[in-house]
Amino acid sequence: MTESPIATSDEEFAAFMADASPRLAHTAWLLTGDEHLAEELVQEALTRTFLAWRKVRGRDPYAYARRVLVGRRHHDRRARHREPAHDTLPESHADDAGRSVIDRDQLVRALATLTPRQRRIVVLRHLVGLSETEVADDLGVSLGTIKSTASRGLAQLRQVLEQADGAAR
Amino acid sequence: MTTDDAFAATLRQAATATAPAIAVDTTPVVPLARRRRDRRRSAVALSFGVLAFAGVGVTQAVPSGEAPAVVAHETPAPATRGIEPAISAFDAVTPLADDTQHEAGAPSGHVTALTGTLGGVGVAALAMGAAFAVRSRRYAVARA
Repeated sequence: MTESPIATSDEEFAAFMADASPRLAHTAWLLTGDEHLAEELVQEALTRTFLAWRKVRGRDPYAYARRVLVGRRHHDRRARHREPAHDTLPESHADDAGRSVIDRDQLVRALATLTPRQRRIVVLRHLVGLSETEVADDLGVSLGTIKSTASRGLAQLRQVLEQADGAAR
Repeated sequence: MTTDDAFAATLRQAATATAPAIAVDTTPVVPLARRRRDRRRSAVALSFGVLAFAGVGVTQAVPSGEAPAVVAHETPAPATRGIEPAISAFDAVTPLADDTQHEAGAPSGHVTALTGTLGGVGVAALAMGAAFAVRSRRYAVARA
């Protein structure tokens, strides 16, 4: 007996969700710094991917979901203004053990000092590890913008983390 | 490896090591997507139904038989041979006498057919819209 196409498609999508959701959640967490927001973002990205499943299943559904996720993050941030960006890195409560290692709190706070655009580009380019071309495709901006913004964002992150490191010593 | 590359690699390692393991609940994804799709389909179908009924209203509002029908007639052949006329022989038209038409005010056959078709399409679209709306509610209830 052959399975119906709808059942097969649903099973395919279920397998895709199981495979993609941890990676999407990681990206979403880097973009938001908040677990609940990240989960909401992933659910929204997967919902939209399901709606476009027939179109994207033959191409790269993960890239589509990631693009939706980054786009939604941008949209939500503009709509809600839920998180103010930090200009400086606030005092960390961590003790001096393992200062050379960047902890989660530091990373979240340092990422929060970037502008939304810098954060998207730095996260996708350097923390998720996409190529410059992939980031440019995902965000719909030029390669030159990706290069310059990623470089500036990385420099700012380094400065902020070094300042925090120096202050803690 | 440049300094930037090295720093980026350190950051990536830190991000991988320190990121929390987020267990995403994917159970509401498919029902939510289906509900959203049905709501969209419902809105489109209902809009289409409303448009079809508006079309019925328009066909009913426009009185038929007022505009005189026109018929083409041949113009006399040009006197000069070998010169093509600038206007086609069938371009000239004159109003047709109204006595060939049906009674004024009575809907003509094609208007009746159009009204019937639009009405049928409108009813079908509204029914589809309602069905999609009910189904989207069912997904919402199932999700809750």
